Amino acid sequence: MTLLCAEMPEQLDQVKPWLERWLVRPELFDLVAELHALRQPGRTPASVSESLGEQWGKVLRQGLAPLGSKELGMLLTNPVLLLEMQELIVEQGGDYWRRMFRESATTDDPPIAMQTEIVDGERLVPLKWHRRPILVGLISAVSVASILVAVYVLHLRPAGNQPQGEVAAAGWGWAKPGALPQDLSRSEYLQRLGADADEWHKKIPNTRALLATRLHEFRLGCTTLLISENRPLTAADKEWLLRRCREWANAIDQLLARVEASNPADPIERIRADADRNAKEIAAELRKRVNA
Amino acid sequence: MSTASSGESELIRRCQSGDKEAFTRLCDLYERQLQCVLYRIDSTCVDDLVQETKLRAWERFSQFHGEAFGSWYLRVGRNQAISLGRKKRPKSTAELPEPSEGNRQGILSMLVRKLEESEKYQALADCLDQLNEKDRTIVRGKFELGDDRVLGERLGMATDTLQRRRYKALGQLRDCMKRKMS
Repeated sequence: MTLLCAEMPEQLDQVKPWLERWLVRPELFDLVAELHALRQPGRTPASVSESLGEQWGKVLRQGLAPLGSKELGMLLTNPVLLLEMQELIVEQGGDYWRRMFRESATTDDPPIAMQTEIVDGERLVPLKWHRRPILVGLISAVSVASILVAVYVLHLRPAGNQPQGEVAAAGWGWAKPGALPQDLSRSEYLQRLGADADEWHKKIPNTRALLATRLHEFRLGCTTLLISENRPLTAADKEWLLRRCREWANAIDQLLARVEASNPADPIERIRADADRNAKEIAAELRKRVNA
Repeated sequence: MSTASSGESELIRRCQSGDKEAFTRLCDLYERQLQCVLYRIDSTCVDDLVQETKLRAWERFSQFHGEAFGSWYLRVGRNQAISLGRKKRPKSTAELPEPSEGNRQGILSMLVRKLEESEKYQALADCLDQLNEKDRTIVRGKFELGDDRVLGERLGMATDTLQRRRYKALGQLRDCMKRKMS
């Protein structure tokens, strides 16, 4: 089992989104149990509204953005306030939090009713098959082969409206079933590709194993896109997409190599931040292409 | 919970005409919030409790009279989970009262007790005891979000030494947790 709190990013600007995502998850209790064990004993927390004063109203409306390091540190070192905060956000949170809850619910987070298990220092939770860390080693070992198999199978399939069909190997992005409908308009198709790339952000893979799995899925999406007919696109679009997609695939391969290197000087937070930026740029490029 | 959006109002109107599909969609709007409420009452059967809540809420929908649906639905879920918990564990300490300003301190005390009863808390507290005082301070420093340079000066060590020690100490805690929880 990983130590959930150890995955907290080092940079303050990344701590806020990390903590917000926890605040809309049922498993917040597990994180808080850890933080509570680590805290300096003896302090009695006030209520969250009393502790944050005027900021509390803003937090209910805008999320954690208005808080500085002092307030965030106070919450992390008095973590029972995070549970109270969650309870109040559930009841009184504004549109910002409602959106966070809905987005959190649409991701395929681990089922929350089952117990976790411990393997090699990683937290194993009941995941969809493609996200199971136990498969990550296997996926690493055969990633090239699996991509080739996908390519082979895809080439054998007759052209249809959804060329990747059931051979798709991921539950999100370009490799999910039905991700590349061939009957859209050009602009709809490009927008759709951008939205699919954005699905990267629906998860926060907080271990090397999970990040590797997620990157493999992204990489497989590139393959799916590269071999798709991309019928809604013009010839110039297709040429552009092939060129850019190869470059995106290379960038993902490099991120994967960094994950697999397990270099303490290159922590998972840094790789994940680079991967987030990469996905954001890809989505933006695709949307920009609509007006090309 | 704030007022309903027009889409939500429409769903409520359809539910009042007996539309079960609309009711499911309405419940889905608050599913994550419900999971959060239920998880801390009984984390072992949240999915079952969500289904029970939907059923119970549908049965009692005639008692819903125009207040915020989310609040009403979460209250049904909380009561349902507590009621089922009582049947399973008559002396359960897992029950959390309805949040209100009046009983906030009571809720916090109860949450603290529940946290300290958790297996995870106890395992990590034991593991933390195995670190020396300096390493405990270094680990805690991560969550205080203070300046590592200042903490390093206080502890008489360079910032990069402090960060290396923190990395190592967190690794020790992780290993210790693995042993204890397996």
